[in-house]
Amino acid sequence: MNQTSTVERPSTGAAASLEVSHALTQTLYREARRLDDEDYAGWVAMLADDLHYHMPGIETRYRRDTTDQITDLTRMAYYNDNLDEIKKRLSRLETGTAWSEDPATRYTHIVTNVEVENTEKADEFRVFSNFYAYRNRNERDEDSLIGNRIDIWREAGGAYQLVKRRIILKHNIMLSKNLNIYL
Amino acid sequence: MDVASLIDTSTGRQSRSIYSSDAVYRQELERVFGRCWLFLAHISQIPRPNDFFRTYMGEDDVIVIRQKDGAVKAFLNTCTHRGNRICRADRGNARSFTCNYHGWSFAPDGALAGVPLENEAYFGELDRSKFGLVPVAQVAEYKGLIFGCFDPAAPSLDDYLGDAKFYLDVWLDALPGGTALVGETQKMVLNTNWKLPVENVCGDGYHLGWAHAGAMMAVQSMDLSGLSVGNSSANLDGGLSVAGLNGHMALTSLDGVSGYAFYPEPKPMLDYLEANRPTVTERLGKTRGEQLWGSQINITIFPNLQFLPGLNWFRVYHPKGPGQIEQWTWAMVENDMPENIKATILDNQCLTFGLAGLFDNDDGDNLAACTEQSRGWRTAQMDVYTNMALGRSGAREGFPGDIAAGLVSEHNQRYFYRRWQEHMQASSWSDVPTYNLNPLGSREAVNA
Ligand code: FES
Ligand SMILES: [Fe+2]
Repeated sequence: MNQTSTVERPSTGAAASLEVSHALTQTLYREARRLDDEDYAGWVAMLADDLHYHMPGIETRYRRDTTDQITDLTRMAYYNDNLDEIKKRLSRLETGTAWSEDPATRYTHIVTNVEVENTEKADEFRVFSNFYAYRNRNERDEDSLIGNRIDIWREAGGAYQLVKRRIILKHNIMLSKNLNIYL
Repeated sequence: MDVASLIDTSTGRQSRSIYSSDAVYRQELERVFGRCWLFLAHISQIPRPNDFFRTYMGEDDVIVIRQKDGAVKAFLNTCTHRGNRICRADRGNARSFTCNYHGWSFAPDGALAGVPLENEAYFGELDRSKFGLVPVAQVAEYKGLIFGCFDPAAPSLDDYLGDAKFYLDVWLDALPGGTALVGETQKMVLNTNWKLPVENVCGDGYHLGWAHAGAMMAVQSMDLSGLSVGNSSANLDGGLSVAGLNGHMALTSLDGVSGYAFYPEPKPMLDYLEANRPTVTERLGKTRGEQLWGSQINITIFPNLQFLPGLNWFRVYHPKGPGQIEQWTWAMVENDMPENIKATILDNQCLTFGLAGLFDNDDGDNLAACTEQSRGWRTAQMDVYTNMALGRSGAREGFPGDIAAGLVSEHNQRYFYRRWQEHMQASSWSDVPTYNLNPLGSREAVNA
């Protein structure tokens, strides 16, 4: 695993074409729907073989403290996964013995603020988005996870695959008892 | 409060009210958290002068600060003027702490260093020496772990830890480079009484093969005392439940490798163990070097610190009322480990335990529901039991403590509640018994 995550670079900063922007926005919505439906096979099909899925933990620090809490991969991350690790997590659900996942959690992912940029690679695009993920479980367990994402999506055979995702959640203390969710 | 009626160690009974009663909780803040040595920080979290780390002792907010001379002090994180919180960051480095309310500022040694309008508005009559930050009565370090205690009459940290140090050293003193906690603090809120996660980790190997069956199928790569999915083949010779050490506990396998059983690719870790085992054996002796170092060990320091060399998570539970805790987790490493091993540990700790961890996904619901089911009018009058393997414990050659066989037993839980009851019944430290059963070299049978 490389030591710094580079989802921000390289950037041309130029907006992608209307056509690409539309296709990628639709792709994000499709991905959200699959996650809502717990269609994890469908979700994994949207992930590239060289995926890096990263959600760093954020501490509350004074502004003068310039510690890199975001891109330094040697620091703690709730997710710092390649495709195999994601599949390992999902395999727990398939065992039929993940008792805590039954009854099922009810999910809604809302994706907004989508911006699509070209990158130095003709087939790769940087996609910014914000998300609101709502979970409700059992009788009255509920929580909301809200944050920003920066993705790299790669065009392959007329569809797009997720290559990198950085998720910046806004919590310091997680107000929920687990993270059985992908964002 | 009739504490005697709440726990019966001889039958393994606990009243459910101890998980839900406000009166019990207020008394715990006084007699458990107000009296015991509590983990504050690891030295690796405040390496330089003026480094600070913010934590809790019970519900009291505390700042731990490395001093210029290298010593460590801890203070209540509250302004002596009107009580505001003076430090709002989780950690950092600060030459002073200035209160956001009226601007009083405090030096890292706690002294009140500056008061706006001191001469004009206080007419120079404020005795600053009486308004320094309030220190935690005792602060001490054991091999990298910094503890604090509110009770000036408490025994020394050394005596408090007692023979549990035999087990603590399996991590803290295995290699000359010492240890570190790495990564940001992973904090989460759990709606559980604080004793339930402690009980779960201090002795409950029983739940592993059941509650965590799905997680085990996903990541288990090696045998762990026969514990596997569905608890079908637990091997009671493969581990020890160790208690009778002033309320501290260890739950350990004995093969020297199964600490890494939940690493999907354990090879680099096993190579590390093999390369360093001779050094560890030389430092800690054959029993610990060959049987404990590298094994799956759950260590509990009463009341709320737990860490697991191997799985490599280190955790403290801060109570927030009878029905809620904050659970703080870090990954733990030995400083002599190569960087790639440290990185693997941090990754695997987050994959298995902690907020997004496959195992912790299972525990949260169970602990929360056990708490909820102690709160009803009827359920609060009911009991629960830790009565597995009652009376089946004794001495073991080479290991201090009163010991039961296997990772599946409720022996440690009974000692946890016994210690809790001893503290809750005692009005001061002088009424709290000290026991380090079966110290090394002594072989008398123990009557727990
Ligand atoms: S409360 Fe802190 S300066 Fe007044
Ligand atoms: Fe567990």
